[in-house]
Amino acid sequence: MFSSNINHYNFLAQFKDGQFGSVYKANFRNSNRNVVIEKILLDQKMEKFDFICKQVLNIRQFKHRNINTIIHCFIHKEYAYLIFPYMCFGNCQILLQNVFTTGFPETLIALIVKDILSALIYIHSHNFVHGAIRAKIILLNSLKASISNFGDYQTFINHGRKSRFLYGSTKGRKQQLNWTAPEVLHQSLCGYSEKIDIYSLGITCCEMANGFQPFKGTELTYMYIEKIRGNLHFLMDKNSIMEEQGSTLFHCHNRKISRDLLVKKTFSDDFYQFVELCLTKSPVSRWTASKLVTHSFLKQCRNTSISENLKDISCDFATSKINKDKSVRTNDVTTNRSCDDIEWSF
Amino acid sequence: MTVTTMEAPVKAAHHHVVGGGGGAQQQEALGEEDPIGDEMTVLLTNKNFHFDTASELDEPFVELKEGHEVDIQPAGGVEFYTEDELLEEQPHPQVTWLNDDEIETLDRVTLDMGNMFFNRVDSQDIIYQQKKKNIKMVGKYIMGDVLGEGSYGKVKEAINSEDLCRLAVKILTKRKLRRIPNGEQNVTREIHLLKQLKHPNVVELMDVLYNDEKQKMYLVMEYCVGGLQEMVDYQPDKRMPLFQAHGYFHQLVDGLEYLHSCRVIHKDIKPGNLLLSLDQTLKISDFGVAEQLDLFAPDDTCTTGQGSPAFQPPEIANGHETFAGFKVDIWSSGVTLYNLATGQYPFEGDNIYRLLENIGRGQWEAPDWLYELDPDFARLILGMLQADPSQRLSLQEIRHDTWFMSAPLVTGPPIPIPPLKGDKYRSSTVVPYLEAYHYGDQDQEDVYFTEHDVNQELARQAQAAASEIRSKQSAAAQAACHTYEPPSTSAAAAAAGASFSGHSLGNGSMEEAPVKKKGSALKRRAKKLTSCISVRKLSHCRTS
Repeated sequence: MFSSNINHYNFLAQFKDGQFGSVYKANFRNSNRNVVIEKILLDQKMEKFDFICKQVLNIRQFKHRNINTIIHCFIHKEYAYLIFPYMCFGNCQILLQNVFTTGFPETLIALIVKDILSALIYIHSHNFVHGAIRAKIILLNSLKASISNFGDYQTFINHGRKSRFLYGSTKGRKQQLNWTAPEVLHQSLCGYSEKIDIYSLGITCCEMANGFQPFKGTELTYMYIEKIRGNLHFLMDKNSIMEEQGSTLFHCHNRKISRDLLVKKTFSDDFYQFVELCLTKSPVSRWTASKLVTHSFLKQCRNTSISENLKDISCDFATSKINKDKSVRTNDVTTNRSCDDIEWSF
Repeated sequence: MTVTTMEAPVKAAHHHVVGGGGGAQQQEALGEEDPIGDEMTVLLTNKNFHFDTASELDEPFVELKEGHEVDIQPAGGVEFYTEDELLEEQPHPQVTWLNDDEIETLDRVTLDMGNMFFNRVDSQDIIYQQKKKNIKMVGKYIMGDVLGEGSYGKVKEAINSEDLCRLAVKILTKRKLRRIPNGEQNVTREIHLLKQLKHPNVVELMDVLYNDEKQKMYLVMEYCVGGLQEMVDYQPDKRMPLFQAHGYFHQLVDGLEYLHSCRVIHKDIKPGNLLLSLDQTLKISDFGVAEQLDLFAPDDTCTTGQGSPAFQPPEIANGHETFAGFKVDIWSSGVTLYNLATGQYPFEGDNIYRLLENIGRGQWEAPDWLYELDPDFARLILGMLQADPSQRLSLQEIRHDTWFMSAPLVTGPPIPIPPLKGDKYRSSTVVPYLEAYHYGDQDQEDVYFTEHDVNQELARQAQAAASEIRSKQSAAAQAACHTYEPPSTSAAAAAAGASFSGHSLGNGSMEEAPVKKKGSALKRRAKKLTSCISVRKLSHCRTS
């Protein structure tokens, strides 16, 4: 249904420009459908090339409502073109930076989390671990939230054998560290499992609720120790002001979030409990994705939808915002180029 | 004037008197040169216990705070990495100035004593302080505990402060390198080689740092959680199941194939140089004696061999002038595989000459029991241990070997990587340092205790043990089936404790006290003491 001819696509705007891949918004003329095209230079180091191929193969395996899969890909000249569905609201990080600067409303978070959990159940049942859940990789359109960016995925199946645990180092995963589960940071022989996605989801919840990522601006080593100790209280609302007057976390961010705003905010007990379950230190007692779906926090999704929560925002918000912020974003891209090359985000 | 002495730990209790005397002399000498004046607080260190080098390995916190570490303390409490070389360089007690914070804490303790001049310090007034895990950084790497020690220096664990990745840092000191034949050459070559190599089965060199001031070199390598030697050593029969050895051998062949394709001959393949990453990937390490053939060399002829004797092929054992390099690695891999799977060596000897003689004598015969174990395996070993290099299998032939291609039956669970200091997951040893750094002194409140406390504890334990023995004896008398024999470790602890208490109380009766059961707990506690501050009396100290 999609053409492999580059001329059938109308390139509308560029989201991101990297050393290897650029991301464009485009229009497929035949069906007048908006798509996102990632253009990757094929003339690359063998390892990088292998990695891209593997990633494409794996993403194409997935077929799920809440996973942003590649719908088509073709090669033209020295570039590979990967075609993704277009998600009109962009990723959650952009929304947090530009619209909901003090965090999403709880209902919207519940809606997003519900979609993400159903995607995670699917991925985990296929013996994959996403490994990099954060607001930046959650894409939104008016109907659903979906996860993208499978650059850090890992699988339990190797050489036809399924292993019980995964092992790996945090080498070269600098940007992800604040969301990473303690057992990954440990890098010890106990390994980790698909529960790391749940932990990252917990941190992502806090990120979406507060409007900024936890541990932002703190030392990495401090973040590591705090996670090991497991004394985490990230959700910030009226109650947390009372409790956490002296906390370092609060001091770090009190410039960002003024007190008045916090006073207006209240999160439900269910939300607190949900986040606590996600951020359980021990991976064994942490809930699985399929169990979390049944949590009462997600009950509030019943009579509402994402479009209802985002109705004030213009539909092509992402494009216009990005174009405005382009100078900022390109700077951002160049500094993080080495790590960000293949991940496209919009 | 408050004088504090830093003392050797209880472990070196027999040095105690000597140390105290030395400390006193030092104090007087110091008084004259003292730049601070009357309100001086001095910390004297006695490094006698450093002669006990073995202790550094299993108790890394024994590394005492050193003078230059304490006073050159940059903001934030991060100390730049210093290593103690006291063993060779500073045989005398060293004088250490405390930094302001430490002086303050001491003053708080001592100010209320009124008596502010030199005092003879009774050993029972000595207060022991637990070693603080001070964070040390080399470049962007935060150092942890010592993982191992070799002739060239230490290997320490570290993490990269930028991405929290675990690493191993090999610390080389120029001074130690000079004592090893070809030491510096070997290291330069190793660095040069490792920089070119990139393969999943070859250990990766991430960074090299130099410190000209301290004449040190740091090789930052990827972290390996354990070695094959360690694993088989931990087993009672010193071997691993055949299927497990098969898996590692596969990876060894992959790695060797890559090395040979890069014209690199390792020359020192042995279980001790084969390390494992967290996901059980084999990593060939230690390229200290490796050689890279010239790009234009017609064949793989080598002239030097410096590897471990037990793994050397006959051509090196016999001292041939030149030999085929690649086949050296094949032979060593053969011996390694044999050793891993059977726990034995194909060649043995009482000393290195006998050993080399045995290796060089001629063709090795596979013992019958090896054929009974697995005939295909025996044939592969035989093929790799051909005395004639031209008859020896090549890597390609090994790849087509029946046993190599087969999948040996999984006969049971694979042998694990042994626990390190009781931690079977081998978690990062940097964490305690980070905790001390980020949470500071809150955790360290309960670290002062006096010799008096220790004595009371000892006496209490002695009593408990005595009553226990009494009850046991009565039980034994009833049962009359066995006699009580104290385990050797707790007996040693008892002896240490007894001499310790005997010294302080001038009371020999303790020596006979049967401290048996809980002695080891005390020993552990005592071992952790590293610095010891002596003041005349402590406010919270109970009187004897």
